[in-house]
Amino acid sequence: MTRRPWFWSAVALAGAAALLLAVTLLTADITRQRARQQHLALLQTLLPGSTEFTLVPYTGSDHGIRSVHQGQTGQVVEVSVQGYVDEVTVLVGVSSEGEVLGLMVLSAHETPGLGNRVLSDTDFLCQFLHTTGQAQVGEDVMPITGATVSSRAVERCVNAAVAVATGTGDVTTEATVWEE
Amino acid sequence: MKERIWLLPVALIVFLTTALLTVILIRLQNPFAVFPRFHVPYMAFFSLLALLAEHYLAPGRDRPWLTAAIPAALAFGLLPWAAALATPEQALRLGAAGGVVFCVCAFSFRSLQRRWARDPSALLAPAVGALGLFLASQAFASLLRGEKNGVSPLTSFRGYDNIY
Repeated sequence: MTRRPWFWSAVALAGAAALLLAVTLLTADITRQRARQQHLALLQTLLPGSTEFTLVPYTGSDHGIRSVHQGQTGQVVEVSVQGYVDEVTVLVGVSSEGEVLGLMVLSAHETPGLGNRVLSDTDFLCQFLHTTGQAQVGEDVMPITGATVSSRAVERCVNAAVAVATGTGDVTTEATVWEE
Repeated sequence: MKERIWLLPVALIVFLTTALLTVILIRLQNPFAVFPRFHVPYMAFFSLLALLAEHYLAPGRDRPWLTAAIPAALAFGLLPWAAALATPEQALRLGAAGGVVFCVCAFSFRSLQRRWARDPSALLAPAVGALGLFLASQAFASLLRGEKNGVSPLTSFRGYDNIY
């Protein structure tokens, strides 16, 4: 018996969807558990001296703030700011005194080879360490060549995180607004 | 010659499933891995890969491709959703965008196919043609800026979502 052409497409599609669904469901718990472990390790790295963190609800007006984790020696703030192509998300560890102790770009989908270097360019990222919310690209922070907009997105993330951690959130509530 | 018109959508589904399974496994090992957005060039890449596979596995010309557009659109929407990489709303937009990209790729590839030499020495022509189309899709995508222009990129999975 000959099958209609769409029969095998439908069978393949249903089989593929069932396979992906099954693998996703089977691995979801392990993935979530690993994510939790790695996230805690990441928070501990970004905020030295803190071992336990609690998720603090953020009630301010900066829509870029994704989460605030309170540790013993400060806070780790996750901030998203519009970059050149898409949102740049940065996790920033800020001490109780308002000093940036660590940062990591969690997500960026900028131009490959240019803006996307904010993910891994340690020379650029290290310039934000020990700043106190006043970092400015072009003045005390050298931007990544050809990626000024992406560099400034990281700058705004860092300064917004410091503002949240020190309670001066009004200073950088425009963190998610890109005006240039 | 038997037409085997099911080969094109099935090849697309196989390639997409393999890629999504790879993403799931990488995510399992490293939940914080940053994946690229699933945008027009990736849709074109998988569409062209399927067209190439069909060309080499079942040589033949003038095989209808429009019938594959519906399974292709369904694959681009349903499979990322099944892999927990897209919300239902994103899946709908991905399916629509994927269907359109597939149609453009299939039409362009078939148009080129009719102009290739028919002798066996023209082995590389389809691959080179597909590469050219892929580069064109990249150039086109650079004109778009993510969701601002209505083409929804697939939100990259963030392993740290809902971990608390």
